[in-house]
Amino acid sequence: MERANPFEPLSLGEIALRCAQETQKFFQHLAHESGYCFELFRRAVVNGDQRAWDLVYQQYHAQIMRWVNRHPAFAVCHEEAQYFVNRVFERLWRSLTPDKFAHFTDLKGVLAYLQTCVHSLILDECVRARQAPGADEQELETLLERALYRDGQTPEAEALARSSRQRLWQWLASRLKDEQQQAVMEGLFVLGLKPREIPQAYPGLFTSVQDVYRLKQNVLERLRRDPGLGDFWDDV
Amino acid sequence: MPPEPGDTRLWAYLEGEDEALGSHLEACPYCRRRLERLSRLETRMKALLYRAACPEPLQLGEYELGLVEPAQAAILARHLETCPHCRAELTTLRDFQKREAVRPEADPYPQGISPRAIFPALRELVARLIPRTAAPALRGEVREQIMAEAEGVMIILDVRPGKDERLSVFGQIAADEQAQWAEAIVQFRRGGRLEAVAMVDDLGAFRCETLTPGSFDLRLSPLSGPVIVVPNILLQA
Repeated sequence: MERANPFEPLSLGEIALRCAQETQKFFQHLAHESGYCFELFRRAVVNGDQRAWDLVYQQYHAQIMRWVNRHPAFAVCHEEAQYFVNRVFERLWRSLTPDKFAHFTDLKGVLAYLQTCVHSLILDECVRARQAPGADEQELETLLERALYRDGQTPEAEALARSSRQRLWQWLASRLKDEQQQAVMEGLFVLGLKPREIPQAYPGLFTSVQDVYRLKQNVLERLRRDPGLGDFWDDV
Repeated sequence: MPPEPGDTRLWAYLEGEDEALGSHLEACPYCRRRLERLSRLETRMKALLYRAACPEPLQLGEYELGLVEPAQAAILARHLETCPHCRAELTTLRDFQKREAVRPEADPYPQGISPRAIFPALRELVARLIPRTAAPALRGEVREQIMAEAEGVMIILDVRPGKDERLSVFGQIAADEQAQWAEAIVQFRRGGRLEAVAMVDDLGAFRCETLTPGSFDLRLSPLSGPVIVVPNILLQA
C-alpha cells in the first residue's frame, strides 16, 4: 500500500515557509526536516504547480549560483553566472518529468539532479561547443539530405538520431563493411583518438598501428567512391 | 628521386610517425600536394564526425543517477567503455557532486543573512497591454516598446534582435513599491511551456536573450504580493 504523504494537507505557503526555515536550520547545524523542500519540488514537478516552480526558483537560486560559480569549467565560460542559473531552471523544468521524479525518495536525490543540470549546461555551452572542430552546419545538412534521400531512409529512422552529426555518423557506419572499419572510423574521427591509441581502444581488432593506417586509407577510398557522397570530396 | 610513397605512409607522416619521409616531401611538390589533401580530408572528417556518437551531458548525468531506461543504460555503458571524453565528463560530474554536496558549511547565503522568508502570492493579476508606442532609439531608428499595466505596476519590454536569430528582451518594472519587485521571477511561457526565466534586479530591470520570436505569456512572481501575468505578448525583432 502506498504511504500517505504527510505534507499533502499543508498549503503551498506553509510548505514554502517551512522549506526556507528548515534550510536555515540545516545551515545552522540544527536538527531539520528536509521533507518540506522535497514536497515543494514534488508539487512543482508532479503537480505542475506554477507557483511552486516560482518558489523553487526563489528558494534555490542562491544555491545554484554557488554551484555554477564553483563548477570547474565555469572559468572558461564567457557568460555571467546569473545567465546559467536561469538556464538551469529552464533545463530542470523541461527535463525533470514526473516519471523521473518518482525515482527520488528524498531531497538529496533532487539536489543531485539539479547539480547534474548545472554540470550538463556548462559542458554543453562552454566545453563541448569549444571542442567541436568547426563543422559547417550547412555542409552537414546538404550531405545528409543527399545521402539519406539516396538510401530511402525513413523519417522515423532519421528522427532516432539527435543531431545532424549523429545522423551522418549512423549513415556512414552503415556503409562500412566490418567491425574493423567501423572501429577505425569511430576511433579516429568520432572519438578523435591517435592512430597509435586505436589498437588499445579496440583490443583484438588490430595487430599494429600499421593496420590502422592501412584500414583508414581503405575506408576513405571506399567512401570516396561511394555515390551517396557525390561531390563531397571534390574540394578536398 | 625515391619511389612515390603510398597514402598509408603519408597518413603516418601526418601523425609524426614517419619522419624519414620528410626529405622526399621537401623535394617533391606532387607528394606535398597529396599530403595537404589528406590533411584537409582528415580535418573535414573530424569536423563532421567528432563526438557524433556521444550522448548529451544531461543524459550521461541521468544515467549516473539511475534515471535512464535499462536498454538505454546498456547502450550508454558500452559507449563509456570506448569513449574517453564521456568518461572524463562523468568523472568531472562525480567529483563536482562529491565536492559540492550540500553541507552546513556550504551555505550559499552570505554569512549573517538568513534565507528569505517566502510567501506565495494569494492572487494572480492579469495585466492589460497598452497600445504600442514608438520609442526613440539611436541613429534615428524607431523601436516599439511593449507596455502592460496591472494595478499601478507598469511592465515595459524592449525587444531587439539578438544572437542566432534569437531575441534580446530587456524589461523594466515600474511600481510604487519598487523594492517589492527586486528578485521577482520572470517567466516567458509559450503554450504553457517555460521558454525562458530571469530574475528582476534591484532597479526593477531584467533581460532574456534566448527567446525565439512568437507569442508568449509573461509571468512575474515577486517574493510577496500578487503574481502578474501578461498574456499573449507577441515578441518579434
